[in-house]
Amino acid sequence: MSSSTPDDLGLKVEDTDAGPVIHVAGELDLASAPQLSAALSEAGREGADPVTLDLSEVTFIDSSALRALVLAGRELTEKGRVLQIGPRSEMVNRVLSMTSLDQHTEAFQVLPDAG
Amino acid sequence: MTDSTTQTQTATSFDLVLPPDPELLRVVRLVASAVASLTSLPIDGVEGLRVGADELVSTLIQASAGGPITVTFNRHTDRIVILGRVQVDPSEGFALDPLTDQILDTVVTSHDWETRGDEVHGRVEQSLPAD
Repeated sequence: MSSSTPDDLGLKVEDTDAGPVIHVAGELDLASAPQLSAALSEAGREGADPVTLDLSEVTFIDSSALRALVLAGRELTEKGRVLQIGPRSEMVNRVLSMTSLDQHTEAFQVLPDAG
Repeated sequence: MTDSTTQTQTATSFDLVLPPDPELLRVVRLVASAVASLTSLPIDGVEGLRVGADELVSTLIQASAGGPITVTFNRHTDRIVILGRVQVDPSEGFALDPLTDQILDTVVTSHDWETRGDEVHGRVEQSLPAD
């Protein structure tokens, strides 16, 4: 597992049999979204497995971060990969729901939330 | 665009003037939460105002021509209003991002945007529950 924790955003990439899982902790906004984009781009550089995001420790997410997710998901799709949104916090669930991105996007898959 | 409704008294009003630095968004969120905590807003309303303030100032940061952003917090007896304005490059135009629009529609009571000369003005409002 590799990690980088600039500022207050925690990003840890775990290599699993099912593909890379990026564990994100902290606040995702206009300031930190570029770090998330870079991590997604790096994780999707090689291989064919899905890239999964663990957002269960995300305490804030705004439209800037959602745009980063959509763009990264589209880039992965162009490479024949899939971006999956895995475990997520209540805050993330609320924002995905209010933008309908939990239901209607081709950019990523929202996995059933174990709660 | 101003907070022009005058029939209710403004109990608190102050400005933050910030460079268009995304790192300062957390300051804006913190101040929004602090102002909301002085009122009878329930937790969801406080969270909504925090998100609304973030979306307001994020939008202005991205529209900015490089100059400072002025954010005015107004706490009335029946609502909280946050006004923001920034100088923009008139040749670039301004359009609110659809995701931002969707989020603001959900988290705050109202929001509106206006281009006035070479400035973009935004406004978010959260109504307070009646006593």
